[in-house]
Amino acid sequence: MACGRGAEISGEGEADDALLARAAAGDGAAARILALRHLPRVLAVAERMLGERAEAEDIAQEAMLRLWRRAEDWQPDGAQLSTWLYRVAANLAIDRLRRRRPGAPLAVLEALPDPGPGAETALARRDRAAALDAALLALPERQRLAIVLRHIEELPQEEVASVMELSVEAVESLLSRGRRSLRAMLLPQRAALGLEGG
Amino acid sequence: MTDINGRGPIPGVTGEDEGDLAPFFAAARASRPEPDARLLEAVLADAAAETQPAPRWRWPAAAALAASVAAGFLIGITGIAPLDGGLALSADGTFEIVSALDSDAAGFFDLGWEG
Repeated sequence: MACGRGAEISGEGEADDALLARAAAGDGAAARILALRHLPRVLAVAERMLGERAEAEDIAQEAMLRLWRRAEDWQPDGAQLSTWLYRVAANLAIDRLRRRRPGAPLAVLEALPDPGPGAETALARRDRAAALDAALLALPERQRLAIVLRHIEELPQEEVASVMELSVEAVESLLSRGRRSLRAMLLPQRAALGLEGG
Repeated sequence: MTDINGRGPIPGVTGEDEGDLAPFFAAARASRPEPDARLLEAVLADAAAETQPAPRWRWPAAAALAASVAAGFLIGITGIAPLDGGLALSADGTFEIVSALDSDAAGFFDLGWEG
């Protein structure tokens, strides 16, 4: 059962820094609002990076745990809370990917669309999001992260650069290469996915 | 218009950069995985364990603990039932600890000179 993001809770309009200060003082309602606000996005980034739900949940919980541990000393003048959380989750996900590297190629191949005969029929049953997720898993991890943050989480390019601790130019380069690879993988499937011009 | 944290408008990520990939990104945005209730409760349990509770009960508890420690420290130094006693100078010129139980001990801190 999804936890439901739209719950009406007092304090929902409060900024992150103020909520975190309240959470640091033991205010459970403030912690709940922060979790409802950020957990879905952190989980989404982790899941799209890893392609696996259980591991993504571990990482999302760990990222939030690190936030709670830091709550009392949080500096509002530093990075935005969301940027910090994305950074922690992304680093944890990349660490996890590197630890599982020996098995990674197999996992990616399993997730990729079958390129052989009958592939179009199989792909026709998938929706476009699943096709994109599968293609994302074939990208190098930094291109994947840049694409997820920019095009799916819709962060401004400057914030993507902050999350990834790169220059804006470096992020643009990753994005450009990532989109090129995605086009090569996805555009041949447009017709099978119900898109015109395939 | 800014969002809840004062962040400005997000530049057109659905514009020219996405091009023919736009339908795929739009589908992905519409299908963001949602955390289930179990994960949310685990995260909130972590928050309860890691953040400081409100201070209204912590200060009295801390004060009571400090008082207990101080009382224990004093009892350790003086003994549970302090007896009359003290230091006495022995015949060889050294001091020794005596108590009222010693038959001819000097009084508490009453250092008698002998010999």
